[in-house]
Amino acid sequence: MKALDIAFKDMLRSWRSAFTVVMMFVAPLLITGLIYLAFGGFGGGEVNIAQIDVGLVNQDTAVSQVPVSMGNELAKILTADSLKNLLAVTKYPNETDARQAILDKKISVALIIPSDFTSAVIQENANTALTIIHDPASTLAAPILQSIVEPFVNSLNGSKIAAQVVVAQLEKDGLAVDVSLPGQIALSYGSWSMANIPGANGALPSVDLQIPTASTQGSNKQAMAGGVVAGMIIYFAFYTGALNAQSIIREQDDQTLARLAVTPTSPATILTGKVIGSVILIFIQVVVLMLLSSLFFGINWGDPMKMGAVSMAMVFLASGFGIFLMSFIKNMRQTGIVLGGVLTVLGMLGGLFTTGFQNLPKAFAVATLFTPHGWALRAYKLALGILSGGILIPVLVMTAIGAVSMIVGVLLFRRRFA
Amino acid sequence: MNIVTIALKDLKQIARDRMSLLFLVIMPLAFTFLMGLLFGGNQQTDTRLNVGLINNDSQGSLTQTLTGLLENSQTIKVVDLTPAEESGISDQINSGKLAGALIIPGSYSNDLLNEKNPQIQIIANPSGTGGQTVLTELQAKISQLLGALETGRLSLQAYESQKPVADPHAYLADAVSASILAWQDPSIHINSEPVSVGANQSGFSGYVQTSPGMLVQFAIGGLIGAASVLVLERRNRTISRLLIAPVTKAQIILGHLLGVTVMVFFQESILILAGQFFFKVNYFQNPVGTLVMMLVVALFCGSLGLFFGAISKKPEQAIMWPLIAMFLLTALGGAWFPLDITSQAFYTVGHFTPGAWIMDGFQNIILRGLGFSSILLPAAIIMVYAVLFFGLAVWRFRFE
Repeated sequence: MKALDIAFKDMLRSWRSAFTVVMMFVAPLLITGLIYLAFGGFGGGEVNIAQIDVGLVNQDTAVSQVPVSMGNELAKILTADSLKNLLAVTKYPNETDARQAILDKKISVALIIPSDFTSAVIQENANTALTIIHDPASTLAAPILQSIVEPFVNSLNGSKIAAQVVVAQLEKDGLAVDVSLPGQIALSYGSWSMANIPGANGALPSVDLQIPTASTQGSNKQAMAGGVVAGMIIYFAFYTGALNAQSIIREQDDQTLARLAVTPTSPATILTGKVIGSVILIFIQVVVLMLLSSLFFGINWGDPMKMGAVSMAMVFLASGFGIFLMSFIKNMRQTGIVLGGVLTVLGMLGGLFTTGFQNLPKAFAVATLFTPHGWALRAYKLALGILSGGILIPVLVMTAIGAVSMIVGVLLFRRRFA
Repeated sequence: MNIVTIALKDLKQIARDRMSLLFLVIMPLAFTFLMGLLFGGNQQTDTRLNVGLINNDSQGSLTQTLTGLLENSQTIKVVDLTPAEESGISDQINSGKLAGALIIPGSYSNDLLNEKNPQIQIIANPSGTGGQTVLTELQAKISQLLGALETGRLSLQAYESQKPVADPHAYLADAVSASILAWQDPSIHINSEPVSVGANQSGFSGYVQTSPGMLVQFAIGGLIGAASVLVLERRNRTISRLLIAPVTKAQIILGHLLGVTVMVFFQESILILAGQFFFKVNYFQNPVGTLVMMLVVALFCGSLGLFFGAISKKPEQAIMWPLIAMFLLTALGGAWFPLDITSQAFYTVGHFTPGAWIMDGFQNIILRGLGFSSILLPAAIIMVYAVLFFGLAVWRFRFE
């Protein structure tokens, strides 16, 4: 009964502390919200990235044999209405001006069309190069511009290669090559090329594009989003566990613990009360964060039984680990470093801040399992269907680490109070 | 002199706490290393995306041409799978082991040669960056093969208009080979180059993003210690006691500001030296610019730390405010990921934060290779924030 009183007192104190409430609920939702806003949501829609300021230097000169300038055709593609939301094109007279505009940050990227662009298409041994110059700090502008320019250039290259190959094959066998044949071949290839562009789904007509099968708990993107939010929930649950255990240090500093010790209350009862308070507090935090993340970010937490088992194990682990960490702390001044530093390092090593990254080094994936955070994240990923396998082993490991942490922490505290 | 004495006292107090070293130096170095690695490091490792391949037509001549093209890709790395593994492909993509997969149907090559328009199966999620990259690269290679085949057909038609071809398939195969060979050196190339005027011409790398990014993050995060010192002084009433000493209120405030500023400058020095010599980030290509940026960032953080110390009544608040500021200013300012990959709204809001200007100032030096004048605007804006927070700190500062 006394243990429950202590637990109730601790919880009351936590709810009255704006700091605790902020760190339990506001901070995880805030960070998740930032990631949500940064990447245009978790729902599967495309990210509406910022419009790219593009410079265009078209130095292409007309060639009498070709009715149109290829440079102008390429410029039309870049300035087409369909790309207006993505590209804001500004014309520059020369490369020097475009480079300066990039250095002045007026544009992120520029396309330099050389003067011999059209002639390189029709002259047999001519070579030329389009140049994309870009702000090195801009990571997307150049690849996006290249992906728009490349199909056009590939079509021209393909047409020329087709004409060259056909002529070479005919000449090899001594057949006649009409002077108009290379032009006809190039035109035919160009028509074929235009008919073989990706459709509305982004796939070529000759490609059957399949989206990876959704996991049993929902779509891949939803599951990944669940992984990101789970990372935040785990980080801040451990934070709450340590913060609640910190009350022992605070009461020691404030001398209230000494006063409590002279009452007929054993150290075991005091510590039991702290653990019960911590478990209830983290449980409420996890449930509320899951509900709010479903509401605000559309997270589908999947099978309630699996998720319930994983969450309960994580709550126990975070509570035990909080007691364990704080048992090494001597005064309130050191708690800041544990709350801000040690938990952040363990969170980082446990992979909580990198849940959205794919193709992580294998060594890193293994290293995460040397931290309790890593096991918690693994369990959530298994429950969400991001990873394949059962949740039993991670749940058992979490429970074991939680129990050992709690026993060691309680023993160290008891020795201190003795 | 009083100002320096108070600053030295603060520094001694912070330095005595060995665990503060963790937050000030060890954590930012560890994060720079890890996050830099995730962003590609110095690009010495194979960063190609894994793509599963189930080849049900391994003997087909055109299929062999296609697999040859895929194996030479700079973007994707082919991982051979058996047909039995087909059912697990989605799981492998969902778990991040594969970025996509390609399934070549049996008799693909023959069907192509016989104009049966066979469909090749790509499994990828184009709404993700990795999936989109895989789809683009796979389709580019397929297009190259089909373009080569189309070339062969055009050639065959031209040939047959003059003379019958004894073995059309062999003729097509010759044309495809010639075409693929020609594609290795096409007439029109597309070159891409970063515009940089200084010595650093290496372009974007993982550490160029994370070295200044983690510097910003932990310069702000490290203010926990500085703000805690102020809170404890207020709780222990040492500030009140100072008031009866021959020291003015202004000297007390400036002393604390100097202490935090020197602490952050010291932290920055270590991180920048590590960036220069360990992570190969070229801060020294404009040493004066780097020094000025370090000074304004230290002053900004000093003002911010003083402000947090002023508004925090309890030790917990001295932890909460720096942590929230750290998460907010660094995420919004582009310290975690480049702002140009984010949404329009995020990008716009981000540029109102000092974090974005700190990143801009450092990246003008280390990435764009620009001269001293390039950091003047970022430095001026960061100083405006420094003055703003210093004013707020003085306004809210309570000695009792």
